[in-house]
Amino acid sequence: MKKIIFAVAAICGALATNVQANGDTQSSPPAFGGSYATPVFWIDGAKVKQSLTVSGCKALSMPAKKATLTTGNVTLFDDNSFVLYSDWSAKGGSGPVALTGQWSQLLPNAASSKTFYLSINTASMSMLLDDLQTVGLANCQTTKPLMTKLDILDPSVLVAKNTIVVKIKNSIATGSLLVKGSAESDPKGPLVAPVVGKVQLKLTMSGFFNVAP
Amino acid sequence: MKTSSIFTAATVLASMMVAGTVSATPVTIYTMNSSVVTQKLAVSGCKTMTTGGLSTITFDRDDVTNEQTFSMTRTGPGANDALPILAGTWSVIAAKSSYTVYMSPYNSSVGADPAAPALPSPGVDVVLDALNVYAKANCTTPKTNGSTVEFNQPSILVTKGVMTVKNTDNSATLSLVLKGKQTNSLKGKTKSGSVSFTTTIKGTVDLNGCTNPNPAACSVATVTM
Repeated sequence: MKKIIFAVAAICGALATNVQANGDTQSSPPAFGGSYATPVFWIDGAKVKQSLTVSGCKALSMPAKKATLTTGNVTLFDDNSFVLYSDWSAKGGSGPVALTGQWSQLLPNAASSKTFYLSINTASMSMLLDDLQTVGLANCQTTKPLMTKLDILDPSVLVAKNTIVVKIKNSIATGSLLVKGSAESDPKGPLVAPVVGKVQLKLTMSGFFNVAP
Repeated sequence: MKTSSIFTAATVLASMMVAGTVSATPVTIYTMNSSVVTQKLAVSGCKTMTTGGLSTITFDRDDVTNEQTFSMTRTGPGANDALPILAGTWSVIAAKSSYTVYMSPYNSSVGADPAAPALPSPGVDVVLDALNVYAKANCTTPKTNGSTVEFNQPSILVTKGVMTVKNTDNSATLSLVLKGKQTNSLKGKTKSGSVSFTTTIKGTVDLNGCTNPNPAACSVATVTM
């Protein structure tokens, strides 16, 4: 009997350690207005890393290496809508940009994970690209002081990845957003012909995947 | 002062007023009418479906808002119109001997905010609804009774949306590619697989509202490589 209790205690301890190591525990559902649908899944206080790459400019990472991770959240509602935040305000962005659209879960689940797909609508993607344009230009100007414009060509932008993968064993989720496109800029100033290059946003978030009771 | 001078001045003023007045409605810049379209729908677990016919694409420019929108539709023949009207935004990147029109179909996936304004449409979700119906009706091999095919729409991404036009003769090739996941029970057991949809349109671009000798420059967002 003692052995069994010991074993159970050890397993519980290991599980608790695992959860604490990730800093992730079940949290209360996020509060939205009364007319919103009901949250069914959410990641609250996720650890977020973002990078913005513009051809010819130094890549911008947030947080910077060895800096404290920023946090973010994503909520999936019972009407299959979602909201996911991308926040570049620490680098000159306007504030958290709410990316919205529809989500679905790929069924059947894989043996060890569940995959959710998120489709971002045109309106919120446009807001994100506007924000990235501002952030990207400010970043480029730190090394290219004559540069006056960075125009992301919205129609050229493709979403290459937008998933949340949840490990079944511990409910730890990893969200990935990858957006790629073309942009026009004048790195040598407005008196020199503009150039066309690439622009890319990568966002990853990890945290505990909450499920509504 | 001669009458002709007054007339000339009046003419110049009138033409300046016309030039300064921006269009209140979108102007059609490029068109491909009755162009040959080939569409291929590949759903893992069943035989690839191919359909063809004619299509029309128009590229409009609104000089008030600077918005550029396109509209693409099948014009026949055949009742199985796998491509309903699809709309979105466009811009141009020009090269030496050709220009590429980048096309981004609308994504009208309704978001979480109930107070958000209506989304532009018809978008790629409308096309995917139609394609899912088409797949259910036409995925016959090795379809069994009671089997299903359900597209996982949020997983289906636009991986390509471009039209390349040659400067010499305005001949154009348009490619629209969608790729993602679906769940089916075509072989009895429920499983997930891939889905891809390719639309290829070939024809000649009619420069309706574009009088610029450099057709690429008729886009408000033209950039040159």
